[in-house]
Amino acid sequence: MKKQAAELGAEELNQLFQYAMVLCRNRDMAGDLVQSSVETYLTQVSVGRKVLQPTAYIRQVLRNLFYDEYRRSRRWHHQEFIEQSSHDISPIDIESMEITHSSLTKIWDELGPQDREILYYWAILGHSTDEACVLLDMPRGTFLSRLHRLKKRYASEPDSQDDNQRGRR
Amino acid sequence: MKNETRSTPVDFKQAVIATIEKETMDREHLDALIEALGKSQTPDFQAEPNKFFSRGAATSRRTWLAGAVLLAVGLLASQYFDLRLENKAHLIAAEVARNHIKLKPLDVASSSFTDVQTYFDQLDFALIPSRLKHIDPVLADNRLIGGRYCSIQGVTAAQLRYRTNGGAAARSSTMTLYQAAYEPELHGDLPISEQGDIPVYVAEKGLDIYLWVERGILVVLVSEV
Repeated sequence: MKKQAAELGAEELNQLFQYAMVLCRNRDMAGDLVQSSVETYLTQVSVGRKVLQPTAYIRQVLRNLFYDEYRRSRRWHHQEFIEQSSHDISPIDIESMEITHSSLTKIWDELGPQDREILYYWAILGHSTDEACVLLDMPRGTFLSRLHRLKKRYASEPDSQDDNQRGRR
Repeated sequence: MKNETRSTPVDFKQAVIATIEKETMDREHLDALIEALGKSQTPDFQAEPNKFFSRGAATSRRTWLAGAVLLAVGLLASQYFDLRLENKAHLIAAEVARNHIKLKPLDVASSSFTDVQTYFDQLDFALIPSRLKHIDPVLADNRLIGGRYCSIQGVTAAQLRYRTNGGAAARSSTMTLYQAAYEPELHGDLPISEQGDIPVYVAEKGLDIYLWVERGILVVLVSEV
């Protein structure tokens, strides 16, 4: 038990916070998510449950908490891409894509928790996007078509002024 | 300086990592959690774990904690957690796509929205004027040609029909716009334009379909562009 608890230091907690932010994009909510999922973990451990990978376990608890609330609150926290017809689901070489920091920051909130999660599993946890789609139960075609739209829209484009044609407020 | 490189294209993965890792937890909260984790090794904690959780952000915390306890029990069940939030949108999209492709004869042929609105007196809501311009400026170049009754998920709805001019190079095409009284239980969670939500986009049968709720009306736009 000592070993397990010791594994969860500032670094791991920050990682969990970053993951929570990927999901909810709100600092208060992210803090609450980390708090609650850590508490759940500690409660489980205190009743004798063996948790081999605390960070992964807490991440899963956190994820479930988020999606439970996300579904229940009946709100669209994210915005879907609105694009001209693009049904492209051809394989995409995500490893060679480029984007400007400011473009990514602009669309990061727009992407939605599910897409951001796939990118988290890919960029931070080191999975391939195919693996991430399987782990996160997202159809590969859905993710690929969204990625194509993202690429068309923002990858390698020079900075442009705010695009208010898209109906954003 | 970071600002100078914000407009330079960089490796997508690095950009994603930078975006994710720039968030850090409040130091106070972090310290409190680390303290709680440290205390978790003591026998006192084993006996009464709840006593040791700090009291930060108490109000919302209580909701979360209740949820956490319930979820701890149902963790294995969570493997089957279905995240298909868009299920209903897809069902509706499939239905209107079929309507669009079938394109049955118009009940009322008119380019006047008021005439068409007057025609639809069997609906339990008033037809609302199109917000097409807000979807895409290209789609704003269209003209109403009439409407007909139809149904969405078993409920009477209105189909408005538009011809899109498409500009010099593109061919003209038909657009259909559907309106029905919004019922969350029937239609599921959909973006509400008054709350600043952006329409859901679904691609179905080669058509672009947008769904949203406006003034309590479910609005679905089907476009061939």
